Amino acid sequence: MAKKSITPLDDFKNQLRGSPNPIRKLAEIRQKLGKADLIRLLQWLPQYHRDGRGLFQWQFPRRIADLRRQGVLSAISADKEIVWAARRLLQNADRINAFRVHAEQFERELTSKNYQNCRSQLDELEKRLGTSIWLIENKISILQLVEGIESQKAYAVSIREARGGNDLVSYLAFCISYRNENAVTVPHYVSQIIAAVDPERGVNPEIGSYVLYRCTNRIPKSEDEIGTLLRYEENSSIIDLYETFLLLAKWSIANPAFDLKDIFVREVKTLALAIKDFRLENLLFLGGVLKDISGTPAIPLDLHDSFIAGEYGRAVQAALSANEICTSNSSAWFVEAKARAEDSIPPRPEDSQFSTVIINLVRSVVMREEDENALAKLAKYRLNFRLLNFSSSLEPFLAEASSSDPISLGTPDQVACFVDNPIRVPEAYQKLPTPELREGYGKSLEKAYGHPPSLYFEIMRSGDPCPLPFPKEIPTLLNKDLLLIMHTERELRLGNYVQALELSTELTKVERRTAYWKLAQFHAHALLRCGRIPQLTEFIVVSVLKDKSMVRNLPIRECAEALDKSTRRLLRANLSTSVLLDLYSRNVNDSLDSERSFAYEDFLISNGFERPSQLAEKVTEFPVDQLQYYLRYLCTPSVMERSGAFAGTTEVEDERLKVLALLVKVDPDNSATYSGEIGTITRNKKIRQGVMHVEQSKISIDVPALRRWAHLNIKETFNRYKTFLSSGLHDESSSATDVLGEGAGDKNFTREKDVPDVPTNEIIDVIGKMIHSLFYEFTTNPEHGLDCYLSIRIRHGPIYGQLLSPLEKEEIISQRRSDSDEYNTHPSWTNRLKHLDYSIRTGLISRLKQFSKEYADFINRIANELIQIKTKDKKNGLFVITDETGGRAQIRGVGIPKFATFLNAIKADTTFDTFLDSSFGLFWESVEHSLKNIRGLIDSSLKLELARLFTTLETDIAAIAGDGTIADLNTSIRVAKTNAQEALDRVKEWFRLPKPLTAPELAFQDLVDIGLQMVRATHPEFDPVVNMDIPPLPLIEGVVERLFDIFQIIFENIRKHSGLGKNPQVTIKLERKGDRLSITIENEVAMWVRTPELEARLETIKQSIAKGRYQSGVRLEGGSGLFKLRARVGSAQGQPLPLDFGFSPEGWFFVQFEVAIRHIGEGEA
Amino acid sequence: MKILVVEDDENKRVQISQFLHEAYPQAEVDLARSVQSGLRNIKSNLPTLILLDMSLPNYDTGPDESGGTPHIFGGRELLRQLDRFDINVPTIVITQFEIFGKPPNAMKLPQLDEELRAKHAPLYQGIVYYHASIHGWKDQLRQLIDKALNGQEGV
Repeated sequence: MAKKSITPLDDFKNQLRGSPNPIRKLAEIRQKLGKADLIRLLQWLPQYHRDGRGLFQWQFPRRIADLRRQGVLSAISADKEIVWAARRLLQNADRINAFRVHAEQFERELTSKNYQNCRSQLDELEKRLGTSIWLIENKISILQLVEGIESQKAYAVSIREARGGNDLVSYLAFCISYRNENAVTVPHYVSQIIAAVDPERGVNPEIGSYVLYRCTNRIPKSEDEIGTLLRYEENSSIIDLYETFLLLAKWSIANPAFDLKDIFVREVKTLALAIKDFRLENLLFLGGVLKDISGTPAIPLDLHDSFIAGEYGRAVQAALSANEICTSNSSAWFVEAKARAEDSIPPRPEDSQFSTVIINLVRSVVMREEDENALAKLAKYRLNFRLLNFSSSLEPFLAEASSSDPISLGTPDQVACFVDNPIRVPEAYQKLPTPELREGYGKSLEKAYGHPPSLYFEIMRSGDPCPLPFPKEIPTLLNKDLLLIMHTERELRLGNYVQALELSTELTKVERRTAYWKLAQFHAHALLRCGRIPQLTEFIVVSVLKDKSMVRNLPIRECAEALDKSTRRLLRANLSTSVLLDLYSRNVNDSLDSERSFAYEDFLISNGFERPSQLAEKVTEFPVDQLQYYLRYLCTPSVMERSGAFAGTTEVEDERLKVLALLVKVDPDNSATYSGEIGTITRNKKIRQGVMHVEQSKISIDVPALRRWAHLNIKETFNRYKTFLSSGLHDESSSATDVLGEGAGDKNFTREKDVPDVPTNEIIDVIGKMIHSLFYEFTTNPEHGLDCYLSIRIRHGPIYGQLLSPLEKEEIISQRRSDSDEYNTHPSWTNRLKHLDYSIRTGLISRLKQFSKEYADFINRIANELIQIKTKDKKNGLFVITDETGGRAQIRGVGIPKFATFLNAIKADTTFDTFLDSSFGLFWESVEHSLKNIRGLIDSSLKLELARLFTTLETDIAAIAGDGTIADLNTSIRVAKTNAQEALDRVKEWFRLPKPLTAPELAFQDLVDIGLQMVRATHPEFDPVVNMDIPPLPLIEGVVERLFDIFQIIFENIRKHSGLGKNPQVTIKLERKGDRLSITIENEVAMWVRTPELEARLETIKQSIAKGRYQSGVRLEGGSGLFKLRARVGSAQGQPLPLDFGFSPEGWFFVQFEVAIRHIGEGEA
Repeated sequence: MKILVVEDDENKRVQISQFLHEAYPQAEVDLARSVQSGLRNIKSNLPTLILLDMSLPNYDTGPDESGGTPHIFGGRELLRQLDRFDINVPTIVITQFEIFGKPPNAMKLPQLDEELRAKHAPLYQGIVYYHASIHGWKDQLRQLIDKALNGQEGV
C-alpha cells in the first residue's frame, strides 16, 4: 500500500503540535507559506489545543494585564498579512458583530449626551469581549469629557500599574491620556510623539510606526507599513485587529500609491458576508464590487435643499428635526452649522447634546469667529474620538477650512468620511474619487430622493457631466451666490481656468462674506493655474491685508514657491513681494526666510534706498496698508540683519526704533503698539548698557571711598611731607628708587627684623610709606579695593558662569558630587547613547566625567590662582602692583622716570586731592601692566590649554566609540568647544581698564533687571518670577554699581540655592528712609533646602560678619556670597549699613539691607 | 590667488590658515568671522576661492557685539547671498559637525552636501569634515582646492 505523502502544510501542523513554543513556531511557519496555505492553516488552527487552550487565546484578554502579552509575529508580505488578518476576523465574525452593536450604541449615546450609558456600553463590552486598545482609548476620552483630567489620569495610571511597569500598552495609555488633556493642542502633540519615537533615539521603527498610527492617526506611508500595523494588531484584541483592518482598508482603497486595493476589496467582500457593518458595504461600493448603494438609509432632504435655496432659517429648523431622528447624522451637523453661519443665526444653546458642541464650533469656523481656537478644538475632538464614525466627517472639514486647494476630490480623508457615513446624502457625492463612482452614487441618490436641487448643485460643481434629467427650472431654485460658486468651481474642475477667472472676478458683487471668501479662493487658484504669479502675489497680499482670515485659504505656499529668482527680480520694486514671503514665513514655514530678507532689501535698493527709515521721504508713493505691513513686520531685526546695510546689532536696533517712529505717523491707529515697542527696546537698550557698564567695569576700585580713606589715614602724612618740602629739608638728590625702597617692607613683603628700622632719610621714609600704604589700600581693601572687585565681578560667579555655561548647554559637563571629588553622570547621555554597546557607552560616560573634572580644574586654577593679587599665599597671582626685585621695591609697569616725574610734581602748594588724582593715575598705569600680562597669558597659554582639553577629549571619544555612532555627542562637544573659546575671549575682554563711563541713570526696576540679566547672560534658562513693590522714586544715581553687584549676588544665590530650578518666585520690596533705601528681597525655596545644618551655617556667617571677619571672607571664592554682600552693602558715617538674612516665618529666604543714596562721599568707608 | 576663510572658531581658523600657508604659500589668505563680514569681504575683494564654515554668527562677535542671530546654516545663507548677487566664486564648505540642528529637523552631512550641490552648483565645490586631531581633512581639502583651481595650485 502506497504511503500517503505528507504535504508541507501537514508538516507545519506537526511542527506546531510538537513545539514547546507554538507562537514562535507559528511566526516561523507563516513566513514559509503561500496565501492559499496560510488560509488552510488558519482554518485548521481552531482545532489546535495545548493544555486545553487554543492558540489565539490572547484575542479576548479578560484583564488589562493580559492584553498584548504575546510576542509580535515575524514579518510577512503586506498582501499575505491582509489575508491572514481577514481570515482571523472571519473566524470571529459573531463576536465582531456583537462588538459593532456595542460600538454603534456607544456612539449614539455619546452624541446624545447620555454619558452614563456610554460608560455602561463600554463596561458591558469589556465584560463580553474583554479589553482592548479600542476600549482604553475611548474610555480615556469619555473620562476626560465627563469627569475631567484627574479621572482619566487615574485610569491611565491604573493601566500602568496593571501592566507592572512600562510597556507598549502603558505607553499608549500614557500618550492617549496626554492627548486628551485640555491644554494640549494637536500640532504640538503630534510633533512631540514624532520626536519621542524617532529612530534616531533608538526606538524600534516598527514600534514607532505603530505608536504614531495609534496616537496620531498617521496614515501609513508604505505597503510594508500597512503589513507592520496589521502584524502589531495580531498581538492585540480581535477588536483592535478589526478596527485597524477597516481603517487600513479605507486608506489603501483610496490611495492609488498603494497596490493593495484589490486584495483589501477581496477580503472585505468575504468579511461582509459574515459581519454586519455598513462600512464594509461602503468599502465594497468604493472598491467597485457594489454598483449601487441603495441599501444605505436615506433621510429627508429639506435641510440640504433649504440651504441650497438660501433659506437658512428653514434649514436650521429642518436640521433640528433631522437631529431628533438620528443624533449621529454628522452630515446634518455641518449643513446646520453652515446655515447658522450664513444668516448669523445664533449658535445652538449650550449644554444639550455632544453634537451641539461640534455644530457650534463648526459655525464659528465658517463665520471665522475665533476660528483658530474653534479649529483647534475640532482637531482635538477629531483625534480623541478617532475610532468613532462621526470623527471622520471632521477631517475633510478641517482640511477644507485650512487648505488653499478649493477643488480636491476623493482624498483619503474624504473617502474615509464617505465610508464612515451610514446615511446617503448629496454632499457625499464630492467625496468619491472617480467619475464612475460618483455616477453610481448619483444614481443611488436619484433612487432615494429624485432630483433635488442639492444633488444638482453637487453634480454640477464637481465638473462631471450631468447624468440625471433635472428639471430646467432647477438652477432658479439656487441661491444666486451659490450659483456663481457652482459655475466657477465647475470651470476650475474642468480645467477652464480663464473662464473661472472671469467668473470669479464677480466676487466683489456677492452679498455674503462666505461667498466672497470662496470666490476669492477660486480666483487665486485660477491665477495660479494660469501662471499669473505677479497678479497672484498682488491679489493675495491685497486680500489678506484687507481680511486676515483669508490667509488660511489662499495659495500662499504655491505662490511663494513660484517666486523664483527671475520673478523676484521682476517684482523687486513691489512691496507685495516681500509681504507675500513674510506671509509664507508666518503661515507655512521658514524655508524662504532668506528670500524674504532679500526681497525686503531689494525693494529698498530698487527704490533708491538703503535703509527703511529713508522711506519717510516717500510714504505717499506706496499702498498704505502694504507699507504699514512692510514697516511693521518686515523691518524687524531678524529680517534686517540679513541686509548688508548694517554693521552690527546695535545699528539694526537703532534702525528699528526709527522705523517705529515712522510707523507711529503712517499707522496712527496702532501707535500705542509702536510706542510700547519703542519703550521696550529703549528699556532693553538701557539695561544692556547697564550690563555692558558692569561688564566693562570688572576691573574697578571704589574711588570715592578710597579717597575718603586716604583723607582719614594719609592726609596728615602728606602734610608732613609738604612741610619737609617747604622747609628745605628735601634732598633733591634722593631718587625715586630710594622712595620706592623705603616703603617696600610695609605690607606685601615683610622683612624680618628684631626691631623696626630707624629711617636713614626721614623725608624719603615718609613719602615711601605713604605711597606704599596708598597702593596697598587701592589693591587689597576688602570693601573698596581692586581685589574686592576681582572677587565679586570675576572670581565669585561670573567666570564660572561664563566658562561653564557653553558646556552646560550642550550637556557635556556634569556637577561634582557633594560627598566626594567624583563627578556625576549626565543623565541625558545615558539615554542618548543607549544605542551603543554597554562597554562603549560606559567608556564614553566615564570619559565625560573625567573631562568634567579636568575642565572644572582648569577654571578653578584661573579663578583661585591666576586672577589674584600676587602675595605670599598667591604666588601665581597675575596682578602685581607693587613688587620687590633685587631687594628694592617697584611699582610694576611704571618706570623710574615716570615715577620721578610723579614725585617731582609734588610741590609745597600741591593739594592732597591733586596728589590723590596723580596716585590713582599711577595705580591704573600699573594695573594696565598686569591686565596686559593676563590678556597675553589667555592668548598664549589658556586658549591653547582649553583647545587641548577638548582635542584630547575628542580623540579619546573617537577611540572609545570605534565604529559606534556618536555624531550627536561629537556635535555637542564641538559646539561647546567653539562657544567655550568665545567665552574665553569674552573673559579676556574683562581684563581691560574701565572705560571712563559714568554709570547710567536708571530706575530701580532697571537695576534689578540688570542684576538679573548679568546672571541670565550665562544661565539663560534661569527666569524667576519677580514681583516688585516699589514706591515712586526718582532715577537712582550714585549707588548704581553697588546695586548691580548686590542684585547679581542675590540672583546668583537664588539660582544656585533655592532648589526650585528655573522659575522661583521672588518678591522685592523697597522703602525710602530719608537718604537711605531699605530693600527686602525674598525668594521661595524648596522644602528640603531649609535644614538645621543650613540654619546653623547662616548663624555662623552672621556672627563672623558681626565680628568684622567678613573682610577676609570676601577673598574666599564659592559659598553663599553673603560676605561679599556684606562688603558691597557698605557703611555710612563709619557704621556698617544694616544687613540681615535668613528664613521668614513663611519659609522663604530673605535678604534685607539698606543703602545710602545721597552724599555718597560721606556714606562710604 | 586670494583665498577667503570664513570661520568663527579660532582654533579651526588657525589650523586652516596654517595648512593654506604650507600647501599654497603663494596664496593670499584673508579671514572673516561671520556671514556679514564674509559677504562684505567677498563683495569688495572678490577672492579666487572661499573656504566656508557652516555654523556662523551673523556679525563678528566682540565685546560690544553679540553676533546677532547664530545661523546653524550660516554657510548656506552666504551661498544664497552669492547666488543672489550672481557672485561666482568657487566655495568649499569645511565643517566640524556631522549633524546640523536637532531631531526631528536634524540634517546629516551627506544630506547637506546633496542639498548644496542641487542648489548651488557649480559654485559649491564640496564639503570637508574637519576634525582637530585627525589629519584626513587636509588631504580632502587639498583635493577639493586643486579641483576648484583646475589642478594648478597643489604642492
